[in-house]
Amino acid sequence: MRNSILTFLLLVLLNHIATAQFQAGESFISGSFYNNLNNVRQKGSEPNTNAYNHYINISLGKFTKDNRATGWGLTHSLNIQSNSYYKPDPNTLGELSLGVERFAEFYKSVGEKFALYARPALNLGYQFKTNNAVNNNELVYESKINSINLSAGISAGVIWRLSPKWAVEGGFAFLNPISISYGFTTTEYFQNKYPNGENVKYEGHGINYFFSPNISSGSIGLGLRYFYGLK
Amino acid sequence: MYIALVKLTTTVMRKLLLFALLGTWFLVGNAFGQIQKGACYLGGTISFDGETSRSEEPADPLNSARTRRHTIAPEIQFGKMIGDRTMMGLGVRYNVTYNRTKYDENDLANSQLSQGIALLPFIRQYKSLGSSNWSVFLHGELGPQYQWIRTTNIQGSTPVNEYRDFWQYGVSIKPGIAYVSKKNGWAIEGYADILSLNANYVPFKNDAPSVFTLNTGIATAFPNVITLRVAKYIFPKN
Repeated sequence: MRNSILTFLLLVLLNHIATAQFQAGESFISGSFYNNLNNVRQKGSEPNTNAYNHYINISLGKFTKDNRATGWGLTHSLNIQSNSYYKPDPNTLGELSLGVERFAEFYKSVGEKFALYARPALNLGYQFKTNNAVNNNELVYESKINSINLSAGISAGVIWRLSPKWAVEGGFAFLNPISISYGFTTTEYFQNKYPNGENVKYEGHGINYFFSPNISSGSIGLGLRYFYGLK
Repeated sequence: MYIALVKLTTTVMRKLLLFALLGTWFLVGNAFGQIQKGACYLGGTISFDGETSRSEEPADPLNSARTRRHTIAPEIQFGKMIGDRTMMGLGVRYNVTYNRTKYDENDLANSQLSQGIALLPFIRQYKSLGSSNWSVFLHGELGPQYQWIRTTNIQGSTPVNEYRDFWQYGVSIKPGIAYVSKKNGWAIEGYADILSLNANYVPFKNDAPSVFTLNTGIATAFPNVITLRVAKYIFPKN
């Protein structure tokens, strides 16, 4: 395994023989999916916990040249969690996001079936997120944040063309250098009350921005791609 | 089970990638000396982030606060090739964070300006990968950082200032990879912290005790974060 990866990296870095695997005019649809469920049920008075999250990405693209494609993508993620011990119950919806992206992909062939790609993308998204703090199983506060985010990033990966119609892609580097977002927040304090018995509430809004030229290799994502449009 | 397997595979793959990268460094032979002795080097990177926000209590609109926070951290490096594969140089790293919160109800403003400057002499050992534009390098740096923080609290029109400063010393070794255009010398480099040692010493001052902190970082997994830098190599005229 180690040798094969070393050989692979050497191939990547030293290979100058390019073989075209893609053709201008080819269209493709590709998608990746990640999902995680963790559910704990216990006897007696022990708390039950539940956590679920998923991430979905669907892209539609077309090759404009033999080594270049452009297209549109949709991203969606969901994160739900609950713990039966917390009183009052915090919102079970931890995070929900929807995004549209415009992307371009640049390929460099490595051997006959593999190619490396770099994928710059511009993403416009909406996110709903909740934050809370719990002390002695009592909910202290809960914030609900609605935000709109514009970000630009580059990811890189390998694509393996299994057959004329199918390919597997794996992303291994992610760079998300520029992001700007506008958000609206409401925060409710459950342990602090007004004289009329209502919980203390705060409202806020703000702008966040960052520029950070860091590549993360946090996870290696796999996706599947189907080609159509050409014989 | 499936998820655990995926996580395990990811960890194993990242480790293998790291060893492959290091392996490439040691095993690739023929050095073509693409960066000549005498070439000068200028490289830099920058990161910034910040936020501005406002919050209020709807039941008591006077109870509102405004927050601003801005951070900017540039780094520049100057170097010279003292051999066909070795470079020596000096890096300067600066960071500034400005943080201010103003509470409207009691006319109170807290602000903090924190700045730091580090001088980091470095040595770098390159290895070209065949005749391509790629090369890998090991970068070692050692040097002091001076950090100073000014805190101001203004209630009405009377400011209360507080000032704090300290030195810290660090050493770190970073492997990296560079793509150098042979035509014009422009380059993109990526490097990761896999081995670092930082000693932090705050001397005895104003009745506050002196503090010595030591932290080390060593990782055998493929680094999670790789920082990018743009550089220019100025080749000597023949």
